[in-house]
Amino acid sequence: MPPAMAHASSPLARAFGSLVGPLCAMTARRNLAPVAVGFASSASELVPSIAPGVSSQPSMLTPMPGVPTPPAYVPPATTPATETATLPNGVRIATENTDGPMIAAGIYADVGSMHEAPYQSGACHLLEKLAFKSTANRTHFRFVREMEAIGVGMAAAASREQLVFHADALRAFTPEVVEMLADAVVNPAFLPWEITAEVEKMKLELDDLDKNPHQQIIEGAHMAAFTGGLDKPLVAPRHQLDVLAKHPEIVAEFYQTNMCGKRIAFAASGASAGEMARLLEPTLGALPAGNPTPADGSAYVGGEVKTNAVGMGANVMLAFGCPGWRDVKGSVGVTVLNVLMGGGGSFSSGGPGKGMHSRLYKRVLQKNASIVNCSFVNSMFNTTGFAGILISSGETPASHLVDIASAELLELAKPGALTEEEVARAKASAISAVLFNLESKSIAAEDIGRQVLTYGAKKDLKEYVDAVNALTPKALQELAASMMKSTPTLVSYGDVADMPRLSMIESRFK
Amino acid sequence: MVLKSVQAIFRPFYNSFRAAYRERVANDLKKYGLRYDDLLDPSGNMDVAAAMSRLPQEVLDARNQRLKRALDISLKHVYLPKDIQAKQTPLEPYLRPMLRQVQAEMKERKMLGTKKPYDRQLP
Repeated sequence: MPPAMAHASSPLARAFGSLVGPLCAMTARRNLAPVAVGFASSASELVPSIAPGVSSQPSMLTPMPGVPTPPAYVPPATTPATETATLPNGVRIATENTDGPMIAAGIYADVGSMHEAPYQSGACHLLEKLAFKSTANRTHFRFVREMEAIGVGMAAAASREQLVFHADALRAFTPEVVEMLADAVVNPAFLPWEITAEVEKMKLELDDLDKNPHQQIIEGAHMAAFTGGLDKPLVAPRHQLDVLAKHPEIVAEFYQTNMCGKRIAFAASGASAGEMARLLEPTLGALPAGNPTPADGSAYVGGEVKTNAVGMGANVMLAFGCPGWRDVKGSVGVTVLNVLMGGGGSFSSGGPGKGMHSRLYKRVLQKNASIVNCSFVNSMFNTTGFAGILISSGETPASHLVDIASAELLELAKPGALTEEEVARAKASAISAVLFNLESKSIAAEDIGRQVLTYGAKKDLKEYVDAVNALTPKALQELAASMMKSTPTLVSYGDVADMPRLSMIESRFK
Repeated sequence: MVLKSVQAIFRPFYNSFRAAYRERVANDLKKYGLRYDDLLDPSGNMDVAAAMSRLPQEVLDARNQRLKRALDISLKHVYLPKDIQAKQTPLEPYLRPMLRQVQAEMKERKMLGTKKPYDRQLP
C-alpha cells in the first residue's frame, strides 16, 4: 500500500503509523509546506487537516513548488500545407509536415478488384494477405523482427478501386519505415509455400463470412448494383482459392502488370515531400512507369439478389444509385444524408455522437422492437456508388422490412419532410466527425493518399466544410429524389421466401 | 570444425580423387535408378521434411516412384537394365537447393534468438 495514500482516519494507517512514518515523512516533505522530519507518532500528524473530514492534498490546479515545467507546445499559426513531389516514373508524393513525434505513411495504388480479369478473381484479397511477406531482400521473419525492433504498425487493405500499404511509426525511424514499405511494395517474392499457407487462412475466413449476413448483403449488393468492374467480387470466390494456390504466377502477374509508377501515390503525415522523394527514388522510383489507370467503365444499373439461408433471420437492403467521390457536391450531400438518416443496431448502448437522434433511430428502431439493425449504408467509388437502407430482424418477415425501408426512403424525397433543425444537426455532426478523425495522423495520411488517387491532388479542407455548410433541406431532398429515379438495388439474405420482386418495389418509386 | 588453413593443406589431396569418387557414387546410384537427393531422409532431418513440403507434388511423386523402383530391384537382387541406366541423372539436384534455403532461414532465426518453428524437443 503506497504510504502517500494513507488517510488520517484510516485504521490501517493508525495501526502502522510508526512503520510508514519515515516514508510518509519523505513524501510529505514534497507535498506539504510544513516539513515533517523524522518519525510521526501517529498518522494524524502525517496529513494536517484544514477542516475536519477535508483532505489537504494539494490542488491539481496549482503547479507544484520547485518542479520545473516544460515550455508549453505552441501550435503553428497555419495548418501545414500539402507538399508535393513527383518521381520521374510518375509516382506522386504528397505529404503534410504536421508536428508531433509520429509519422504515418502509406503507399496507395489505383489497383483493385475492379481491375481483375476473371481468372485473376480473388487476387486483390490474396494480395492483402500477402503484404509484408518475403521479398527479394528480406524473409517474412526478418520483416516481423524489424517491425518489432522499431515499433511500427503496418497494415495493408484491398478495396475495389485502391490498394493500400500503410505504416505508423516514430519519426526517428522514418528512413527505416519508408524503406521497409517500399521493399514490401516493389520486391515481393510471392513464394508458392507462403501463398498456399495464406490460401488456407482465406478458406477459414470464407467460412466465417458465410455466417455474417451483413457481409453477404454487401457483396451481393455490389454484384447486383454495378456493371463494368465494380461488380467483380472483392472477397475471393471459393472456387478460385485452389486455383490461386496452385498457380502462384497468377497473382504475381496481376501485381506486376498493374502496380506501375503512374498508378502509385505515396502519402505521409509528419514528413516533408522533398525528403520522401530522396528516400523513395531508389525503390519506388525504379518501378516501370507503365500505363495510367485504365478508364473506369463502371456504372450503376440496379438489380436484385435473393439468397436463402436458414436461421439467419431476415436481412434486407434497399438502395439507389448515388454520385461518386469525383462529384464533390453530390458525394458531400450523400455523406450528410448518411449522418442525417444514421441508424444502427438496436442494442447500441448509445453515448455522445452515437447518432440516437438520427431519423432511422427515431422513426424505425424506437418504434419497432423486433428490428435488430436499421442503418443507412452507402458505398461510394470514384465515379458512382449506391446508398440506401439496410434493415435486419429476427422475427419480422422480409416483406415488412422492405415496406419499412421503402417508406423511409420515400419520406426522404417528399418536399418539406426534413426540418431545418435535424439538417443543421446532421451538417454539424458530419463536419465534426471529419475534423475529429483528421486529428489522427494515420487517417490524415490516408486522406491525402486517397485524394491524390481520386482527384489528382489533395483538396483543401475548407472546400469540404463549405460544401457541407451550403446544403439545405431542399438540396438534400432534391438529391434523394434524383437518387430514387435510378433502378433500385434490392438485396436480401436469410429467410427471404416472402420477399417481393424488384419490379413491385420499383413501381412504388415511380 | 577444421580450420580453413588445415583444409587448404589437404585440398589438393581431395581434389585428386574428387572426380573419380563422384563418378563412382554416380555409377552406384545409377544401378539402382536413384538420385543423390533421394537419399536425404525427411524422418531423420526436419529441415529436409520442410524443404520437401515446399516442392511441387510432381517432383515428390517422381522421388517416391524412384524409391519404390529401387526397393523392388533391391529385393529381387538385380540391377536396373543397362539402357535405362544410361538415361539416369543421379547427381541432378532437386532437393538440395531448397534444403539450403531452409537451412539459411533457420540460421537467420537462430541468429535472432528464435527457435525453429518445428523441432523434436519436448516442451
